[in-house]
Amino acid sequence: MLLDQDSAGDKWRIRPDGKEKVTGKLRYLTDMTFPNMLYGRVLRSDYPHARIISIDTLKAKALEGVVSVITHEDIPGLNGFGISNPDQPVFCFDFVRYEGDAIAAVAATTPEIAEEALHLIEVEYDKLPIIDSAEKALLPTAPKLHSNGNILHETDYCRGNTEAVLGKCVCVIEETYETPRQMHTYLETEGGIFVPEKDGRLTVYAPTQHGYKDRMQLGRILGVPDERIRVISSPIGGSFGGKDELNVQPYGALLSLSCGKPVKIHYSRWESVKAGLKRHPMKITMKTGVDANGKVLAHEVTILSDTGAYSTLGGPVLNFATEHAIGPYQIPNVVVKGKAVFTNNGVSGEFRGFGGNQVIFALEGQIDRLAEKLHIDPWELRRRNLRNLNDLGPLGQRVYPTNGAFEVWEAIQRSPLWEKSKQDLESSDRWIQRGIGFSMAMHGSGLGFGIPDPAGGILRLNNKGKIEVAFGHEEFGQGLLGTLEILLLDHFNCEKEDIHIVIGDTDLVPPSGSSTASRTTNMVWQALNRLKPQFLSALYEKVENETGVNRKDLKTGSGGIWTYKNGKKVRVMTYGEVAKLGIEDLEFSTKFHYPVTPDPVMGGHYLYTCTSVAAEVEVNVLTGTVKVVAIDHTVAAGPVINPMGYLGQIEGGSIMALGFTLSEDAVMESSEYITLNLDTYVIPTILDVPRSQSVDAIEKLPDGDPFGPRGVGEVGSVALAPAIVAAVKNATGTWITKLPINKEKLICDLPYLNNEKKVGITHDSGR
Amino acid sequence: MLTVEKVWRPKDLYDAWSIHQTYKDASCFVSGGTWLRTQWKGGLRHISPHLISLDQIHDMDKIEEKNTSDRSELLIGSMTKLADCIKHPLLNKYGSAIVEACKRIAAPSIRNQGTIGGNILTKTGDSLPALLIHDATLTWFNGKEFENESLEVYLSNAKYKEVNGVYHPKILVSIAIPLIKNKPQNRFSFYQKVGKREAFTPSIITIAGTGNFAANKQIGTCLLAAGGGTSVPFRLTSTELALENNDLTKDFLQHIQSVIYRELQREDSTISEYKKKVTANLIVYHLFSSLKNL
Amino acid sequence: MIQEDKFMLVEEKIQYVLNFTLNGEEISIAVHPSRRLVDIIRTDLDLTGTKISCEIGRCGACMVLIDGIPHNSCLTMAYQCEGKEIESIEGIGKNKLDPIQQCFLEEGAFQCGYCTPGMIVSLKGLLNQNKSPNYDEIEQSLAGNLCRCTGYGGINRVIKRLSK
Repeated sequence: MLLDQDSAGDKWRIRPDGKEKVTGKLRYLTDMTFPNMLYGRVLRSDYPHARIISIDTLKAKALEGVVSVITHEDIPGLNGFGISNPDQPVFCFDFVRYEGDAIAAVAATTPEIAEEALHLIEVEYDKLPIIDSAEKALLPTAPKLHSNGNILHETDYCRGNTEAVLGKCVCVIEETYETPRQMHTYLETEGGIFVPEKDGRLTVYAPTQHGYKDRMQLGRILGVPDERIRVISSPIGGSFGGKDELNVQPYGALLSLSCGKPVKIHYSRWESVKAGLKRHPMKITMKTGVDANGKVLAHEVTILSDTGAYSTLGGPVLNFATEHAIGPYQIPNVVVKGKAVFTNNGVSGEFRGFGGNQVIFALEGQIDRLAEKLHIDPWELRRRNLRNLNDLGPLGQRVYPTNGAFEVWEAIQRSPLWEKSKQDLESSDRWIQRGIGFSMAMHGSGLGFGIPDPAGGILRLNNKGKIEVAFGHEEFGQGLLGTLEILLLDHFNCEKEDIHIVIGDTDLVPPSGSSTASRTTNMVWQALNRLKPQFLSALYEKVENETGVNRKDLKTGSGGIWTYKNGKKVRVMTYGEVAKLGIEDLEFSTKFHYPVTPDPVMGGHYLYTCTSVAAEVEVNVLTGTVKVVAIDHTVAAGPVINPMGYLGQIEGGSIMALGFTLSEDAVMESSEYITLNLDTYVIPTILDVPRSQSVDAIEKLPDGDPFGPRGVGEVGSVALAPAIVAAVKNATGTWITKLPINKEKLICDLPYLNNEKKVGITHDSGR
Repeated sequence: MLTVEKVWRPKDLYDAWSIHQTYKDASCFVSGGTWLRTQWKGGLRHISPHLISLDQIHDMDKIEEKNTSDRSELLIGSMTKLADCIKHPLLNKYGSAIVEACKRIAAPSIRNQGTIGGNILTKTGDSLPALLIHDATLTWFNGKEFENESLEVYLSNAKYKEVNGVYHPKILVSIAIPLIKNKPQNRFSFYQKVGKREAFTPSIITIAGTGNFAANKQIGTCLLAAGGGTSVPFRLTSTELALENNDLTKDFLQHIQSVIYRELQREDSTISEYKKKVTANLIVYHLFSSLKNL
Repeated sequence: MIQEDKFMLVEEKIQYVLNFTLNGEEISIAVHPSRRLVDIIRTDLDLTGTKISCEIGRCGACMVLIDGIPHNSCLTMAYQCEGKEIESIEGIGKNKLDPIQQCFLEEGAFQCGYCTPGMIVSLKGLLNQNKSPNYDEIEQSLAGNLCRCTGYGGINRVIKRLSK
C-alpha cells in the first residue's frame, strides 16, 4: 500500500500533541523555568588528551553570583556513567580523554556569571600524545587510553572456510568503505532542569530515551536509591539515539543538590557538538566471492569502528554491525571480524540504524560491484542470494520466519523508477548526468540476544473516568502518542476524549524498557493486546453488577459502555459513572520481554524488518554536485498502525541518510572538532531533498505471526546511501567508497566540448 | 569578559566618526549585525564595548541612478538590505549578476537584516565576484571626506591582511557601478555559487562573468571574477585578456580552461585542485552557453 | 570627551528601555541594548514558542516577524527592535488556528515540533509579502529553516497545498 492521506483513510489523524506544537504552546523541558532557578555550566577539557595536574576552583567560587562550583570531589556515588559500561567520568580528575570531557561545573544566578566563572577555574594539564584515528589506537606505540588498552570490543564470527572458497571463486571483489562521523543534530540541544524537592527527592526534567535507565544511572552517581529520583523525560525536541545516554543529567543533578535550588542547564550547539554523541565512523573492508552463476560463496569482513573516548554503546553497535554486514543474503562461508577502539575523538554512540547504516553501505556496494563484474543485473544477483521464509538469521541464529527480503525485492519493481532505470536516461544538459540505483536491507529490531530487553505497561480506568495507559516510553517526535491514541480508539471504539495517555515520568509509568531499537510500537501493541481482555472483563463485570446487563452484551464505546436494547444502541454507564464505583479493581499491568532468538548468539536478532530503496540522482560533472531527485521506498514491517507516523519515520530517516551520503561529517582535526555549528556541519535543507518520496508499506506477515507491527524508526535510514552510490555510478561510471561523497571524484573536464554522447570521467575509479 | 557597554546610533556620518574617534579600538561599526553576532558566537571576534550602529544614518539604504555629464552610475547605499537589493528594479535592470548573488547569500531571514555593505566587508562575501565584474567602486567616509576606491584594489589589498578581525577605520558609504546605457548587442552575464548543499551554504566556489560578443563568435570585452571559501575574490585579468577579440572555438575554450587554471594557481597557491578545476569548468561552461544562446 | 547628548545614545548597561509591540501588545522593558531578541522573548517575557538551537542564524528555530518580515531573533539586538512590531509564534493563530498551522497538523509536517514555530513564522512572513506564492517561492522561503525529523516530506505536502 502506498502510504498517503488517501490510502490511510481515518487512520490519518492529527497528532494529539499537534496543536500545542504548531502554536508554540508546548513547553519542552528546556523551556521550563522555576522560581529561584540557577544556571548551570560545565567546564570542558582544554585538550583532547592530557593528565590533570591540578584543579583550582577558588577564584570561581569567589565570584559574586556563583552559588556552587563542583568537581569530582563532590560526587557522593560513582564517578562514572555509560549505558553498557560506566567508564565515562562525570568529572575527570586524573586524565582527560577527549575535548568534551567535563572537569567541573558551576551554578550561578545568571548564565553570564556561570560563563565567567568557567573562565576562573584554573586547570593545569600535562598534554599527552593523542590518538586521532582508529588505526593509530591499534599501533603498539599508542598510549593506552583505558586500563584494558584501546580495544573496547571485538567481534569474531565465522562459518565455513572463506579462505579456501575465495580461491575458487570466479570473481572476487575486495573493497574498503569509509563512513563519516554523523551528528544527530536534534534541533533541541541537550538540556534540562533539576529540582530538589522539599521531601528530599530530586525531580529531573531532562530528555532521554529511557527514563528508568537515567534514574538508575543518576542514583548510582548520587549514591541514593533510585526511588529518590523522579525522571520526567518527555516531550523531546528530537533524539535519534543521541539522548539515550546521560548528557546534562549528572551535572544538573549534582549542582542542584549542592545548592538546594533548581538548576537549569541547556547546552549551546557548540557544547552539544563537542560533548555529544555521534555515529561511529567505520572503516569496513569486504572481500566477497561468487561463482559463475552469481551465487555468493564467501564473504570476509573486517570492521574498524572509532568509538571515541568512552564505551557508552560502542560494543553493542559493533555487534549490530557484525550481524548486518551479512544482510539478507544466504552465504555459506563467512568471516566477520570487528574492532571498536578507543581514541581521543568525540564519543560515538547510539544513532538511528545502530551500526547498520555503515555496513549496509559496504555490503550493498559489494553486491553491485560483483554484478557489474559478472554482467548480471544487480537486482537479479540479489535474488539469487536472498534468504527464504524459514532460513536462519545472518549469524546462523533462529529468527522468526520472514519473507520480507523477497517481498521488498519484488515490490520496488513497482516503483516508476524501476521502469525508468531500464531506459536510457536522457539529459537536457550534457554536464548533468543522470542515474538510478537500488539497494535493500534487512534490519533487526529489539536489543538482541543477551541484553535485557524488558517491556511492560499499565491499563486502567482512572478516577476521572478515562481509559488510561501508562508506558515508560518517550515521545521525541516519532509519534508514540499518536500511535497509542490510534490503538486505544481501535481497541475500545471510544473517542479521544475518553482516553488518557501517560508517558515520560518515572513516578507515573511502569518500566517499559527503552524507546530505542525500533521496538516501541511493537511493545505497546503487544502490551495492549495482553491487557485488554483482563481490563474489559473486569470492566464489564463491574457494569453488570451495577446494572444487571449481562456482561456478554456490553461493549465499550463513545463516552462509556453500551449495549443493544430492542435493537437500539443504549449507553449503560459512562466511564465516569463506572469510575465513581471505585477503580482499584480496574487496573492491570503486564511485564514481558522483547521476542528474542533461542540461540545464544550475542546481540543476534529475532524480528526483522526489510526495506528496498530506489534513488535517482543528477550529477553535475562540472562541479561534482550530486542532487537526489527521487527516492522510493518499500518497507516490510507488518501492519501500519499510525500511517502519518510511519510515513514520517521513513521520510525523515531517508533524508538523514541523504545527509550521511552527501554532506554530513563532523570533521575532527587532531581530535578537535572543526565543524562546531550548523554553518559548517551541514544537514539537508528543504532544497536538498526530493519534493516527494513514496513509501510502499508491505503489511503482510507470515501466517500466524503473533508479534504484529514491527517498528520503523530506523529502517528508513539504513539503505539509501548504497542506492545513491549505485545511482551515481550509473550516472558517471565512478564508484564511490567513502561518504560523504567527495565532489572531486565526480568532476571531469569540459564534457560538453567533446562529441561523445556519454561523457566518461577522466579517472577510472572512485578510489 | 568583554561585553557591549553602549550602543550608539548616530544620525550622520560625522557623528558616527567622532564616536569612533573617541573609543577607537573599543568601538565597532554595525550595519545589520548578522555577521558580527555570528563571529561573536563563534569566538572569532572580540566583543567591542561600544557599538556604533549606522542604521539611523539617512540615505545609506537607497539604490539610485546618478547621472553626470561624463558618466552614469548606479549608487547602492551600503546599508541596503540584501533582500532590498534583490527586489530593486534598477539593480535588476543593470546588475542581474549582483541580484543573482544576493539571492544566493544565506537565507531569506538573514537577507532581511544583513546589508550589502556588510557582505562586502567580510571580504569573502558572495556579492563580491558579482560586484567585481561590474567594476564596482567603493565610497568610503574617512572622517573628513569621501574617498573612492575600486573594489578590485580594496580586495587585493585585503588579501594580504587578515581577513576577519582587522578593524577597518573607514565607513563604507556606498557602492557605485557604472551603467552601460546603450547596451551593446550580444551581452552576457553569469553568476554561480557552489556550496556544500543546494541552499544556505557557505560557498566553496563562486564565479561571475560579463561581457559581450562581437561579430559572430568573437568575444569583445569580458570581465571575470572568482572566489569562494575563505579566499578573497579576485578578477581573472589574464584570462580576460586572453579571451578578448578571440573566437570561442572548442579548441580555444580548451586553451582558456588551462589559462584559468594557471591564473588561479598564480593568484593563490593554496587553492585546492578541486576549486581550480571547478572554477575553470564553470567559467568555460558559461562562456560556451552564452555563445550557444547567441 | 565627546558630548554624549549630541547623539542618540541608547543606553548604558541596563538603563535602556526598549519599546516595541509584541503580538499586538505594547511592551516596555529595561534591557541591555545589545541583548538578543530571542533572550528578551524567551527569558525576559517567558514566551518559549520561539526556540533556540544554533544561535547563529543557521537553523531558523528562533524565527520571528519584525514589521511582518522574518528575522532570526538570535541575530537581532534589542536596539534594532526599537519601535518595531514584532510577532512571535504566540501571535499567530491566537484565536483561531492560522490556515498554515492547520495545514501542518493535517499533513504531518512536524514530528518533534522544535523547528515548527520557526517554519510557520517563515511561511507567515512570506504570505504577508506575497498573497499567492508559487511552489518555488514557498520552498525558497524555507531555505533558512532546518528540520531534522521529517525530511521535509510533510512540509512539502504543506507547500503543495499552500501553492494551490
